[in-house]
Amino acid sequence: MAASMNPKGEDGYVVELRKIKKEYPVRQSLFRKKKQGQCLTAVNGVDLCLKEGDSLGIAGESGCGKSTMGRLLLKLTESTEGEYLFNGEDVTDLRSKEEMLKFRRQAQLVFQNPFEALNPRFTVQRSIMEPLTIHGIGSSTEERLGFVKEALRKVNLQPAESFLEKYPHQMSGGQLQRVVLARALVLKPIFLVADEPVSMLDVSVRAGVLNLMKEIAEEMRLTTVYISHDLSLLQYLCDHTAIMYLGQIVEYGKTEDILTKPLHPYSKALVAAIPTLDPSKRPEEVPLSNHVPSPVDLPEGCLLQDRCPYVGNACRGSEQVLTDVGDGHLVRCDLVCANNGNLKFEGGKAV
Amino acid sequence: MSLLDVRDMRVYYKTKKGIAQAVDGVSFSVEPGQSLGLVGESGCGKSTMVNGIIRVMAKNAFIPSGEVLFDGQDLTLLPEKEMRNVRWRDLSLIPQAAMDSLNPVYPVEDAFTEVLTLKGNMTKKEAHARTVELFTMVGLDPDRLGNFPHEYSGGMKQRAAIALALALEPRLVIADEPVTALDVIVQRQVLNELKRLRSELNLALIMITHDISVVAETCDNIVVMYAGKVVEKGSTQEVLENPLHPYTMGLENAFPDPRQQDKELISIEGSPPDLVNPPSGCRFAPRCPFAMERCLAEEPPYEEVDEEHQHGAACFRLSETLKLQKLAKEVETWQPA
Amino acid sequence: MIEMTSILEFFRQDKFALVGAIIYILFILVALFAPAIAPYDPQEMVRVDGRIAFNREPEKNFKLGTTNMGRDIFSQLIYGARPALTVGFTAALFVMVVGTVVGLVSGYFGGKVDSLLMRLTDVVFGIPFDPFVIVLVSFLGPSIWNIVLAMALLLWRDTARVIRSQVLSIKKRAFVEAARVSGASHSRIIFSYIMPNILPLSLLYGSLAIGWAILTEAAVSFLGFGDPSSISWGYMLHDAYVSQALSRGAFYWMLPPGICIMLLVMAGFYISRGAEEVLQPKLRSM
Repeated sequence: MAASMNPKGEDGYVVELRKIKKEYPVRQSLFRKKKQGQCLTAVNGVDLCLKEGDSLGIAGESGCGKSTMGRLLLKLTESTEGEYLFNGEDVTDLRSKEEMLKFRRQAQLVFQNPFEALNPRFTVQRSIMEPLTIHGIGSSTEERLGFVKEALRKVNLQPAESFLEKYPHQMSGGQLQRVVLARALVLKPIFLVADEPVSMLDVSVRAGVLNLMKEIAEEMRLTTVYISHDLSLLQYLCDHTAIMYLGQIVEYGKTEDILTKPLHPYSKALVAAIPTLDPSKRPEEVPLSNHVPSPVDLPEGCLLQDRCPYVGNACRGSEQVLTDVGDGHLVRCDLVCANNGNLKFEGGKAV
Repeated sequence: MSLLDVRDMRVYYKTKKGIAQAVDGVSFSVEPGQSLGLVGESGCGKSTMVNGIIRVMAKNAFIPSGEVLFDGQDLTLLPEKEMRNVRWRDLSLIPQAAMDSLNPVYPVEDAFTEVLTLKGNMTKKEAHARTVELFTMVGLDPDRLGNFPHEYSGGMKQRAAIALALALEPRLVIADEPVTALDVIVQRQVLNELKRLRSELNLALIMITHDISVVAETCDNIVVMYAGKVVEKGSTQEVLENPLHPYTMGLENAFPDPRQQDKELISIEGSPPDLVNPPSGCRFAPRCPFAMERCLAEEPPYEEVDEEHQHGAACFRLSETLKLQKLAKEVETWQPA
Repeated sequence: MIEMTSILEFFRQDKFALVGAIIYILFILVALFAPAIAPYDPQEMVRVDGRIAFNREPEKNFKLGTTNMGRDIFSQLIYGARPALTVGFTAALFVMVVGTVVGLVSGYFGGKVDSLLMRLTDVVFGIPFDPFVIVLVSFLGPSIWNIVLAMALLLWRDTARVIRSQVLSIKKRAFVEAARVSGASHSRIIFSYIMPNILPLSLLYGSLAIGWAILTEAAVSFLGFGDPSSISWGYMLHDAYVSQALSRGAFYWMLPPGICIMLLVMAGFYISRGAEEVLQPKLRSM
């Protein structure tokens, strides 16, 4: 089931973001506090809908707001504007502790750096048991231990008993990331966010962790969001992918479509830049210039206007809207949309 | 004669637990103007080795044996004073995290002035002219010479680091993970820049990276290292299309490739061996699905298979390559028994 | 990051710290068994053949001689370890606890709490230490507990600053974020995740504070603001000074308490110096 970006008031979504915005106040100097209206826009009005079992990849360069998106989705940071519905309930402002605990139990995170994500003074057993203790799951330590072992088995750390008493520094990166995953799964969440889950791991063990995450997500019918700068990873994990640029989603569609026929000039550049084992198959490069606008002072109209080789007058004036060009493929570029997605760019010119 | 000829190089570390054989008998050569990719996972010894070549090593590291012939001269025998002249002038290093190697309290130009006046014996005026030239060469705006490093973006800092390495027109540049910390688009630009500079200046390049796809796109030759040993080397295209060593095959399996949508990702079970007490046979044998008894007992010698592409590997089962390649593509092969 | 279990290992590796620890242990033993070691009551005016033994030079019965009031200097020296260690350890405990709590709360909660506490710390930093102790002691009366109070009121400032910065860096680490994702409460995060990681640092500042406290008590007593009921090394120096022991060449009265103060303070710094190297390995090569 595909995730739709513009729901017509449909129900049944696990995650629904409506025009979510995150701004950080910018301090001008030590003594003068915020100047009126000076804000760094990290996430700029994002809509997102995910059903049970959906997997979405969010890709983009550093500073595009993808990590802030992850933090917003897990309510590790509060949004400045917009609404967040989780399982049909409004979780934009969670005032009471009980509501927050209920949310925390259902939404979990897999961290980028497994070497940092576990308390160095906790054994594996204690790390995984922590969430159970916090949420009061299981009536006795024995029962909890049972859950811990089950979680370890699920992430293929077997025999589970041999890992219980280990400390993080006694384990390899791949094993640690499995423990992190086990800790996230032990609460039986319905929503999982993974922020660059394998970027700190060695290549030869990456595949194992990726395949495991994919299997578990399918088996538990988890709704998952994978955040990565590496588009080539997302194709293994996600049905859909959103490309972010300066806090906005500029393109959204099936991961395969985005990798094989990206439409937005920025996505094109991104895809073309991925290094590959067979350089003869590389698509033509899109020459983007390096004038990245400051997120404190965004231009009017299209955010890519100063870098895009195809920029026209229309791009500078009006704000670009995310538009469906058919088959659930959404693009935030008037030039592309005006041609129903058939616009081709060759040699730095729109054809 | 090769520009750089590394012969049976060893670099060991003294550690609390004993002596770690981080680089253990590595040989390879680089011709003038050629580019070589040194590939392997963390801890395989690739960084240790280049640090050994330029003799900028950790305090507890030493070179028990081996020759590093640069232009016929053995660098391991050179007194430190002369070695200092060789660095920068003949071979230079773009260090890992080069972006942080610029001193944050001085303008970027100061780093160039220092190298050019001290090592290159230029006057300040000449140094400035050369710096402007270098900046233009790597695609940076010379107007930004007076800026401080924090005013540069990641890509700009990386370009500056490359320009600095090229300051005295060395014949060989060693780049340690030059693009790892960069975003893909900037990464692509920097790689293109390196490629262009190489052909313009007839520069030899050794690129250290964990990312074989970066090597695939930029290097003529490749050396694959595992646990301090060379397991395979040859021309990049040959090695990637026709891998001889099971580790190379496994590494390729584990690499996601956006142009091969149907490719299945397979990981190599286990982890690299302890280098203080390495296995007696092939160091990859404990993780190798094709390991025989002999592999565990004896160390396989390096054998060249294809003279034209200087392609060879250190494996006892080189005669069965085709069979192994076919098996290696299947998931079941790599699953633990 | 150091584990509590590695503390033993640390003493084994760092010879200076080991020496410091041995000195500490010796003084603690002396203080505990003072009545057994000292031949006389330190306050007693010792009589020899029915006459008070004034200003004796060191001899068999009076290892370090006697004072101008006929008290045995060696016994005073032995008993002097008691107030020194009492002041040292209690003041250090207060400094450590107050400093750690302020630093933890300030660093962890941030925002207004942080601003408030840190501005308070700034104010405390502005108060000159020795004059403050003297003024407080003259108001509240000369007692070693008032000296301890004065130190508890002021000396936490360094500890609080350092602990705060450490908390700020630990707070950003992923495993703390992970605890939040798990739903852990603030107190759980502080006590299970942050506290164990800053404990070595607060112990380090505690051991530094011991030295400071002993020095301060000695200085205050020497200046004559000390507790007359307990004989401390600073009090001995004061006594010697006002009775003009120096002009009589009675170095055996002035030197021993001075050396004891120096040894104990030095021991504290040796331990903390070693601990600092463990906490910041960068210093090791210097």
